[in-house]
Amino acid sequence: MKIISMKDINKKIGGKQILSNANFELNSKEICALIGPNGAGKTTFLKVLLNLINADTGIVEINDSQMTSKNINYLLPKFGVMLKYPESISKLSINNLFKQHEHYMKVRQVDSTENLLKKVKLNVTLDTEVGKLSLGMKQRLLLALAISSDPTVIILDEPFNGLDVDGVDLFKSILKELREKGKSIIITSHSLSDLNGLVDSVIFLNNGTTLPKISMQVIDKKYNGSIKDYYREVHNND
Amino acid sequence: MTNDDLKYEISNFKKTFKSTFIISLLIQLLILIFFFMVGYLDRESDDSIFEHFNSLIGFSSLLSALLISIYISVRSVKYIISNYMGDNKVFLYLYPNGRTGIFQTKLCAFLLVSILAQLVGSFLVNILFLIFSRITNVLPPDVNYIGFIAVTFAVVLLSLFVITTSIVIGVRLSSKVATVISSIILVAILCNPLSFLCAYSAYTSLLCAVILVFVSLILVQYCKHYLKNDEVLR
Repeated sequence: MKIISMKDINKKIGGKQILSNANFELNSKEICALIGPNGAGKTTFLKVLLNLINADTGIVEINDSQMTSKNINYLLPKFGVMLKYPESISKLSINNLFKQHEHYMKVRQVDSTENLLKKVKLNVTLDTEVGKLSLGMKQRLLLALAISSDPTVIILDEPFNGLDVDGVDLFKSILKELREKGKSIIITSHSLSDLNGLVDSVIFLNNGTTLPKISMQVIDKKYNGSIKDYYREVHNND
Repeated sequence: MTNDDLKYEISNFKKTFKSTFIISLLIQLLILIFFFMVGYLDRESDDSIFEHFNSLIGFSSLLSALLISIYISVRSVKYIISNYMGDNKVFLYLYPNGRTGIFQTKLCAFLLVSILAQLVGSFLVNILFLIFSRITNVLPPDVNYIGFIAVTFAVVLLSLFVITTSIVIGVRLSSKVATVISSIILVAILCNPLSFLCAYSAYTSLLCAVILVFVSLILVQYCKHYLKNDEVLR
């Protein structure tokens, strides 16, 4: 079942064409990696999906509903998002952060804060100040926050930053578990080897244009399962 | 904006009440004492505004309210403006109503708590001074109580205008510095003309204050429109 559809997305910023007829589809129970070189437009692409940027042309659909200013407040709770860490939450305790998230999302937390922290193996007390956590711990916290409202679509921008090997493995197992529960996941990462064994499909974005989505079955056949080799080939051909 | 939303934001801001109250109290007290002493020591002039309760209170309340507005605008940098900068802005925008709804609620809650603290602090000093002047007879006994109330509300509304406008400017420009500087500039522009009004006509100053509050409401609507259409390009 198609969850997200982005068709012919164009966006110019400051006279430069950042996205050019970019297309994307995501189904339920799918983990898709959005890869591309620096400056390819990946973050802009995600921002268009999340209504942080308005596309000049093109259509974004969530569950067959076109995203507009009228229904955006209804659609946003369907997303669980892990982007860059915001300094505004540094002074909050973990408990207050989750309370704030629940209040602003207008959606009950799917589990208690303690259980969510246990899930991401974050062994800290609820009154710990968020700003005092290490980078890896903050990443775990942000993942717990992103999944706390039981979203339909989970978007993760460079989630493996600052994680140790155990952290990466933990994240992968959590994401696979979420996929089995019917969630759809978009993930960007410059560490392509971390995506192996996790994603179901890959979409390559360069100079604002997307190549057709490729499944991991094809990458397994043609590139011995190496997303890096696929990346090198398409990037050299571009 | 629901009651629950407003209560939630007020609970976040209520820790600012005590400090704003104390600062308001101290500033009002110091300015009042200063101008009282100026009036008391300058008895040679026939009609010093500092020798009449209403004009003394009006002038000192205006000045202290404008100074307190700068202080509250500086506090707003931490509690409101910083939420609309960089990645903090992205974090908020991803919530339903994260653009206009949360901004409006935060603004209302912050203003409610701050203005209330300012009102209580300044009013307390003014009442104590009224009692003091009655007991000691240092000022003529003719007090226009309605004018006194009018001036109190006028200066609070003026504060509201300065704080709201500086917050709107800060959010619009995503700049902490712009918030503080705009509050200082507004105070510098308003101080002189309004000081004459407050000293001589409490009702005119109240009318001016009401007009300025309407202006700030228009600015808030503009800010909401901006936030609704804002693009997070970086």
